[in-house]
Amino acid sequence: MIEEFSWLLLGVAAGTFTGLAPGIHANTIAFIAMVSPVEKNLGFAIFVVSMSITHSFMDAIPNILLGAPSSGEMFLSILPGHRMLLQGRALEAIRFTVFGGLAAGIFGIALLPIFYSFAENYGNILPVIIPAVLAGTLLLMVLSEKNKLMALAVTALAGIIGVFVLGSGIKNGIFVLVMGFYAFPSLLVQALSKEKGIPAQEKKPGEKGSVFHGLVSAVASGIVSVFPGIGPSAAAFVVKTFTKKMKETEYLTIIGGINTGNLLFSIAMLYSLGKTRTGMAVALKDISPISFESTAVFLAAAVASIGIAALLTEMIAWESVKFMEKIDYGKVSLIVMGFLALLLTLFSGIEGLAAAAIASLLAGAALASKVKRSTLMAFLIFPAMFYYIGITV
Amino acid sequence: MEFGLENLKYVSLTLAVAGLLALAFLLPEEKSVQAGAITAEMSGEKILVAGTIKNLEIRKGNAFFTLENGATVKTVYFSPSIEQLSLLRNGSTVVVKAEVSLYRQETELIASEVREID
Repeated sequence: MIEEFSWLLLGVAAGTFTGLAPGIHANTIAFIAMVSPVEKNLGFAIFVVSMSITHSFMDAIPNILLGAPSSGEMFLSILPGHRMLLQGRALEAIRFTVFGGLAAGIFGIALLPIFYSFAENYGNILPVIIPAVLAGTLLLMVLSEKNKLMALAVTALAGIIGVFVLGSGIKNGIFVLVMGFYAFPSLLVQALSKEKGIPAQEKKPGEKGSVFHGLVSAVASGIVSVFPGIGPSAAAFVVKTFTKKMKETEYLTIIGGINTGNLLFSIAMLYSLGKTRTGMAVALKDISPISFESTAVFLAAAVASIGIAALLTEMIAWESVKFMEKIDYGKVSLIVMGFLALLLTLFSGIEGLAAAAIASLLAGAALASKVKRSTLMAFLIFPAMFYYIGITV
Repeated sequence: MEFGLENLKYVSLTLAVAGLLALAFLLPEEKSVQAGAITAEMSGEKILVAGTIKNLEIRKGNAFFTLENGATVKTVYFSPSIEQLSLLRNGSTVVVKAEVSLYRQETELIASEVREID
């Protein structure tokens, strides 16, 4: 037992590091864990769970503190976390994502039997409705954009790139495209930014958290875990579309909740449907036999990690804010970009690096034309739709 | 319903303790290991090992087979119940609860339970 508890704490430490390092995606760390030369046993599976959960809390810190454009004309089109950063409310923004993660953890455990029962009883009809749900999500995303023509072009191109890269034999295609579409563009914007620090931040209690939005994030996480291709940001977008005039703090509660809840539900779906909906689930399937007993152990490890990671994020959030006020994070972004490019070349070859560069160009075009980057999720949604329709490329 | 964020730490702590207690309760007594990691030094240890059943033979109510998963390990299951026997098929993937033993200087597993993996 001591061995497994040690793995859990080691996972929290590793997740803290990967979560704080800007640009590293949760799927990337699951992948790195899998290729590491460590004996793959139950303890290691617990490590992967606690690392992924902790990462989902900690990555709110760089996501909010890094990558914000300078104030000005882009203010209205930027992410809610970045808007609060520019208002000096970064600490409050981070705390709302922590609240969302905690709420999704608590409500998620309570809702697990419902989603599990749904997957058990209706799992066989999912392949029929999945393409329609995915197409509907994409359509909703495009229609919500001001520049619909550009949004349609970005969505179609992201989808085409996804289909070709994932079907091309390039190793670790999802890793390549996550880096290309999300990590590199954010880091590049930051590296090129003329402002070398963040505005002065306040340490005040702020608003109260909405428990209802915590519940919404848990329900959205459950739905995301049933449907492939729909990531946390796409799910948050759908929730936002159906909820009129959502406040920034409520949006952050939901995005924080979905990021963590998605992992929790993916453990249950791995057992009930045998499907992997997250990088963590892919790793778990490879590491350990999936039984009722092991699923219960993973869920307990996830709950413990949610509590520990929320505490830790609370503890270091203000220190991180103060730290970011002092350093030149343009340089930090450049160093992280170099590290990720090296990882890409090592694990996916030059062709992987080239594919990531093409994806980055499209993401840059989306940023320049103010099309939301959630439309880029088409890179996963198109292949999933084609798979369920029965089209092979 | 609203929640004061100054109380986050108390909820976090409660959840962490609840999760750790649940984990302590749910962790199996047996250590989960891979077939290739089983060594003679582990003789007497109780383990869980996953693998595919090969070369199955049933003799005098006892089952003899090799468990393959990257490496191969000889396994014997003395007097399994009818229900357990029905899970033993060549090519099926199972998790075996067993004790590591040495027989004629060779490592083998004495199974006490077999569970099928979906």
